[in-house]
Amino acid sequence: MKTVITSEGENLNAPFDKRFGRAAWFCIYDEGSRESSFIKNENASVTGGAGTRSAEKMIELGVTKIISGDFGPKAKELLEKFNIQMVILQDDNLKVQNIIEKLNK
Amino acid sequence: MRIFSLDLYREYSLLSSAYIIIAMPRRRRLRKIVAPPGFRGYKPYGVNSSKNESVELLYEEYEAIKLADYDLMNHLEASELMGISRPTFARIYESARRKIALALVETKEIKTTYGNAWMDKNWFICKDCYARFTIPINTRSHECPICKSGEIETIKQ
Amino acid sequence: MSYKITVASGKGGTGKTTVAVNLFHFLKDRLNSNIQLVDCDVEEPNDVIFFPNAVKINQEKVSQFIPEIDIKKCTFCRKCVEYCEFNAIVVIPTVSFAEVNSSLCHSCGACLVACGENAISEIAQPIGHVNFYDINSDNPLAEGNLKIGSAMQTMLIKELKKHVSDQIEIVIYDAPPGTSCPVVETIVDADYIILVTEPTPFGLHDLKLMVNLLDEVKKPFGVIINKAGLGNNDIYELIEKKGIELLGEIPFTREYASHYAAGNLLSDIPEEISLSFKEIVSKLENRIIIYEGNNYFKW
Repeated sequence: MKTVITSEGENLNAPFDKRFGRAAWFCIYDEGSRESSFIKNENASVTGGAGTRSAEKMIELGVTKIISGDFGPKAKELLEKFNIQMVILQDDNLKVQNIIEKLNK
Repeated sequence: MRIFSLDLYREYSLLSSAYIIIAMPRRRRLRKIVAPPGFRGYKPYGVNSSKNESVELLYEEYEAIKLADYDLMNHLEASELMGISRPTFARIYESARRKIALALVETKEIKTTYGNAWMDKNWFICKDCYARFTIPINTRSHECPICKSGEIETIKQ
Repeated sequence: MSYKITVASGKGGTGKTTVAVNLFHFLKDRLNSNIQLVDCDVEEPNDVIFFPNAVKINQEKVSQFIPEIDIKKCTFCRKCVEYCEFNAIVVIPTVSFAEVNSSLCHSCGACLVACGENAISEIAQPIGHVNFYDINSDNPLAEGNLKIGSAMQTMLIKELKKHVSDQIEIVIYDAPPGTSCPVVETIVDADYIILVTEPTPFGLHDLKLMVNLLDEVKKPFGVIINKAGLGNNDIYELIEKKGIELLGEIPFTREYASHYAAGNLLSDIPEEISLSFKEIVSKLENRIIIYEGNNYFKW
């Protein structure tokens, strides 16, 4: 079970990024082995279609769940098509670490 | 944002999955509804009887009544909106009317239940941690993906 | 070569259509020349409303070509994805998925060049119509009418402009409101731009945006202040400070506004309004004569 948490930085103490398509980093977290790794979002600053490209990346990575602050219409459509669960958290001041702790409870 | 109960839906899905194992019926097509009813049920008042009987009005039945008798659509238009055939629409509509008539005449409560409906976009909210999320069709679990709480409700965005 | 005048404004509702339709009327009267009105506000073309006897004489469909990927031929090499400047193509090799998102596609054709497998073909998708109306004039009123939901305003305006003949002496483009791509498309080949504004804080703010845009594209322009008498004097200060040509002012009167609302723009024009337009037209006339002279000598 691969879960992606959008992150503003490359470590677990980084703030949770509330954007999906234009998130700075993606934290890939394995709920089974509790291991996490980070990949940079190459599409964060493209002029258009960031959501589509990021969704494409998620499908390629075989992610099953994405935790972010919001999803654009085009990303939603693609993620829905490939049965990827979308989770929206709206709390401010969340760190990636806090979300992982919640998942582990 | 309108929020409504999913408890009955979960009961229903448990029942129906049990049913599938025994009888394997024809898969029921989901009926698209635009918005869930804005109430959980109706209760008669000024009634002596203390019998606690009720009829269950499915969301798609509520939607059929709304489209045909409130929005004054003809059956063809309404069926297209719900993504079902015209005869199926007619059947749901007929069933809805009979249930309402039964409730009125026999002074029963009306309770709304999820039935075979699906929202335009299926989004849920966790009543404990307020996470909002989708449940992809291939997943069986109906719990919050963050805090694992079973207290979830659908939301209409 | 025709002399092209674009009537534009940053803010909506300042009176572009009022000015465009009236200019057409008074220029035709005064110069007796071969003139055409072209409604480029393709999302809500309403110039035609002010010609009660207009009859639609022709309609042409405008289509956009959207690429389609044949999954059977596609090798999922992602070359088209790399070529696409607009990120409109999704190709996911691991799940053999390839699709074009038509709302992002700009129909540039780069993916067709990219594909070595011949897996991409184009299908026509209608984006709107170009309509022509007979309005008892030498030339018909031309308008673009965008299909609801389409985002291809600029493309439709481009097509619409192709339908305007070179032989026409004066062309008036009625632009959409704002300063975005469709407006730029309406301005880009104009010889002169008339900015319609109103003396309100909103009119001032959006006029500034428009002036910046025109400075960038280096086009000559003048300002008409519509609804003069409302609001405040800030807009006059800006015009003076920047040395902008003030073509004229159209006074605000309630009667004229209700006249407009009833669709009677060109009948029983109040004296003061018609005077304003005549003054504007005489200023424009000088520009047109200079332009024609210049072009004559170039020949």
